[in-house]
Amino acid sequence: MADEPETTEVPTSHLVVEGASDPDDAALEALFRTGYRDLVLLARLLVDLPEDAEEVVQEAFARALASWSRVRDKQHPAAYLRAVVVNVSRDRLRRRRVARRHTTTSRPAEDLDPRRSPGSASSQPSGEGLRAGDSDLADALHRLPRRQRECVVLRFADDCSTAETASVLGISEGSVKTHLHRGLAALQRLLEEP
Amino acid sequence: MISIDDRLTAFVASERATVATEVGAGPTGDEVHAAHGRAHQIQRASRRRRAAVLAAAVAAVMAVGTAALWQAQHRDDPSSVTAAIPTPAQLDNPTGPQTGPAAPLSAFAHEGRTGDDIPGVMRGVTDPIVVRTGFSDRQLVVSFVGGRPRASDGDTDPCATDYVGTARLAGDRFVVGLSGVQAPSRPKSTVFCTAEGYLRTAVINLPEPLAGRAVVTTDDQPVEVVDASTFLIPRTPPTGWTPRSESLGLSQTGDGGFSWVQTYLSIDATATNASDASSIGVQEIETAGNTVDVADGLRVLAATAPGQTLDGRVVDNTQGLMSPVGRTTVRGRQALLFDYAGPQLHTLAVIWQEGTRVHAITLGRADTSGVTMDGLVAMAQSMTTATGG
Repeated sequence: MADEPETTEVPTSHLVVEGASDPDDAALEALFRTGYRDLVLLARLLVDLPEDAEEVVQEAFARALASWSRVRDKQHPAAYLRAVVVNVSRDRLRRRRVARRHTTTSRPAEDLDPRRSPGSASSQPSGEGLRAGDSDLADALHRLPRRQRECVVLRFADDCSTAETASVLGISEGSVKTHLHRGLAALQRLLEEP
Repeated sequence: MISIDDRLTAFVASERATVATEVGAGPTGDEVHAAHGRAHQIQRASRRRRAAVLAAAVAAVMAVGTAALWQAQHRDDPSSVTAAIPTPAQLDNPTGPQTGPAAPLSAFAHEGRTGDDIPGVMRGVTDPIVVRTGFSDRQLVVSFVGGRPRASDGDTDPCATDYVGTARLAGDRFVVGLSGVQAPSRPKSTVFCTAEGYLRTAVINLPEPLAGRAVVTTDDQPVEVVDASTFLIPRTPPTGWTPRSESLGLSQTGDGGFSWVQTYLSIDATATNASDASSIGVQEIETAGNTVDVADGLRVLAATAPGQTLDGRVVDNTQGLMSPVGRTTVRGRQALLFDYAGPQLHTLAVIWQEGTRVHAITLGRADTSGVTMDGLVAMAQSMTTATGG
């Protein structure tokens, strides 16, 4: 519901600025080429359908290119691109959830998991064949709250430090530690469920 | 037994190997070319969007003025303001869960319904706009569009409703809902209420700390909770000014942006009409890196998309532009100062940026508020998160 603002008129004020600087996207493109696989891995673990990962990264690169000229701190393009990948992955999940809600409103909540086969109460992820290994862990990972999942993925897939994770997610280092701790505990709990 | 860390590490290694097999060395030239093309599309769309917003922009003065109008008209009835932001004492000492029947958060439009045909809840609540954590881990704050607030406990208007949040723990998730509260002696006759919607806020006290657990509505719809732990709140608002309402909206472009707005009013204000009213708006806008860059040499204005409403009232679409009149330092960042004397409203504003978030403190009716730019800057400089960050 929180992701359906189009259904209500929200008195949202925005600050708007005018201005532009010269585009300089060579560094970003080089990073896109060399870090592509790492970014695809990151996206693969953040979205619910692993086959979406490459699309997410390409969309992220396009978005990053589009706004790169307005980024003032260009010293850390990798962190910037990583943050855009996280945002695009988040958008992808949100849109799918909204679409799902509109098309399957009469189905029980447990059937609304995108990784479950339509109409099936089984817990088999529909993308299971695309996961190389631990499908239980993949399933558990996607049952975590968004922030916890992002913290866990950035830490384990991207080897991000607490500070780097905080920077990518725009939250405090304390929050990162909390989310990571809770996320790992929740994963443990989910995996122990019969 | 294998630890979760080891299991995650093995899983990631396995996924990494799969990625290496599937995508090879990296993107092809065509894929890079396509991304550049898409980037140009995004830039063009962004320019069109910006032009549209600029064309319909409402200056901050108008937004603040409208808020002032609304608040001035409800000044004598504190209960008519959207639910007040809890005081620090309330936050530190939550009263526990409310009891009583809970209505689904997602309910029904109430136009044309009578008050008698819906047991339990007399007035519909449209889907909540957004739910954020409170500054305590035992609270959720729900923004939603509901009916007109009751002016007082004695308000017999059957179309006025207050809302009480409910919460219970069911397994490993919280089930939350809202109950409408209306005049106990409302008329028994058939009453049709207009579809007038008001932006409302309700605080839901949780029986236990949220602790990252899932939240669903009473009709089992998942609720996305925005983490408010990094939101900035002023520690020292001007003497005699207190928080009166707040709202939180998500970006309609789905880019992860949001806008959180607190409104402060002077508790000793004696204004009886809108032209005398003052209010301070504290805005925190997560831009998701796409739309805002507060920097020297840029013209900054506050805008509201045409047709959007503020507390049920359509915002005037006349606009005013503001250019910075000075600079100072707020929380280690350069802040731009604005002083705009419009035809109807004299506005002061302090605006700065932290990462992808833009913060703005805006004072309407500066001439009569008793608050100076120094006071506004001091308020900005006192901003911290609930944990002191």
